[in-house]
Amino acid sequence: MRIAICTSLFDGMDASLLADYERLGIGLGHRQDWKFLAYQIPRLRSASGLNAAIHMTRTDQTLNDAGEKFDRILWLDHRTMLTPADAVRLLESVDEWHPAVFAFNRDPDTRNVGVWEWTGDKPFGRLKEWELNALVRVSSAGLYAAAFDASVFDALRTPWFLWVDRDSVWPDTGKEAFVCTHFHRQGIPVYAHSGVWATRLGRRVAA
Amino acid sequence: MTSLAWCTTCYSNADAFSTAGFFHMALALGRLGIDAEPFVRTDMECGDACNAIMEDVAAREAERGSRFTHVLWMDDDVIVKPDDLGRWLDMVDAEHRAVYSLAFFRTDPYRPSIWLFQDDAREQAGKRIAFHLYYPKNELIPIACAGLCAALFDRTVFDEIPKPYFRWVEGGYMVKACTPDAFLCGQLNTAGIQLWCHTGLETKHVGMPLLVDEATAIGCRERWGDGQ
Repeated sequence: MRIAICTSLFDGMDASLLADYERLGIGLGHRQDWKFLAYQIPRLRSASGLNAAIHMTRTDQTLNDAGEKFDRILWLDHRTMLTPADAVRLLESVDEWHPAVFAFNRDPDTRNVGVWEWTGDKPFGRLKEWELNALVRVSSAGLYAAAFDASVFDALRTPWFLWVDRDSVWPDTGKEAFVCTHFHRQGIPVYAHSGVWATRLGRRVAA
Repeated sequence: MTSLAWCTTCYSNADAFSTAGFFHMALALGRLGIDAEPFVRTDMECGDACNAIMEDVAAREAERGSRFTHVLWMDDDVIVKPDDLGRWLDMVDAEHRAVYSLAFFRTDPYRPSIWLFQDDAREQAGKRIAFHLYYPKNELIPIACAGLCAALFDRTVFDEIPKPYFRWVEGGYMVKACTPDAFLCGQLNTAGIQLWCHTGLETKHVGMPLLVDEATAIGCRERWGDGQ
């Protein structure tokens, strides 16, 4: 399986996460049956970095020349910790019925779960209950760690990610809600894996 | 079996370019099947952080019940080519126990960060050192001192030098102000451990963003001439 690991690094990585990030790379590298390529975009804001990374996975000339395509995309936010085992679980949970799987996460400051469900025809009800260690059908989730079937982006028009209110069923739309809106419109189901939690770095606070 | 302690000091934030390089290196270490563990210390003065990392390495070894065979030091602002890793590991043997890569200062005039003793006599430790500007290409060469941008050590060299391994020293050994990495070189030289640099192992140093104005331009011209 060919996997693109995409991260928008913006201005770099907090020092406290560096060892975990290295540990993740070493752990994934040990999977000899999977081929990983990393697309890590510096200096762009998150949605732009995401678009650039996804774009690169589709235009990598080395792969194109070899007639190869990626099977999966693993998205990691640059302020997120994910263990190698959880990254593998996330990737293994993606199949034709579950083409977009997000990790569960909590807001580090409010401790609220960053996963949303449909309430009636509205997609922004915060998930309150969920089955443990299962793939849960959701409307959207924070994009801290997620695995996609690489072909899901074929069905969407660009930009895949955008931080605007426009063109979305959400009132004030983050980049993850934006892409999920387009998944829903194309009939692509969105899931979150309640057995995989991405740990987010909180703010450093002087009190 | 090769087991590697991968050590980095990172004060508050790793640059985006070097972070990407670190992740590529991590994937390569995994792909090569190397038993590698990262050790990172943050929010400490560089020398203290380096020493704390070596304490962490020793504590982890006690926990594992086995010692690492190698110590790889990489600064938080460097990019090492992952493809070099295999041959770099092969270079470290009984004769070459401390092998530095070739890095350059990240500030003007971007000199190579390797030095020779002024008379090339290592046994005269205490002599001043000079930049090795005209090094041979793609060779493993003996050196007196190097910046700790990226270096691979046989783990046992740290058994043969006294603690602290790293220290800031004003007016110390070899140079006017001795940085923690130069201090380590001094310790290794004093213990009779030859330092090597392979000039084909190129480490990329993330340089300073530069605000160029008249003063910068004139300063550079005074140093380098006007190119006429």
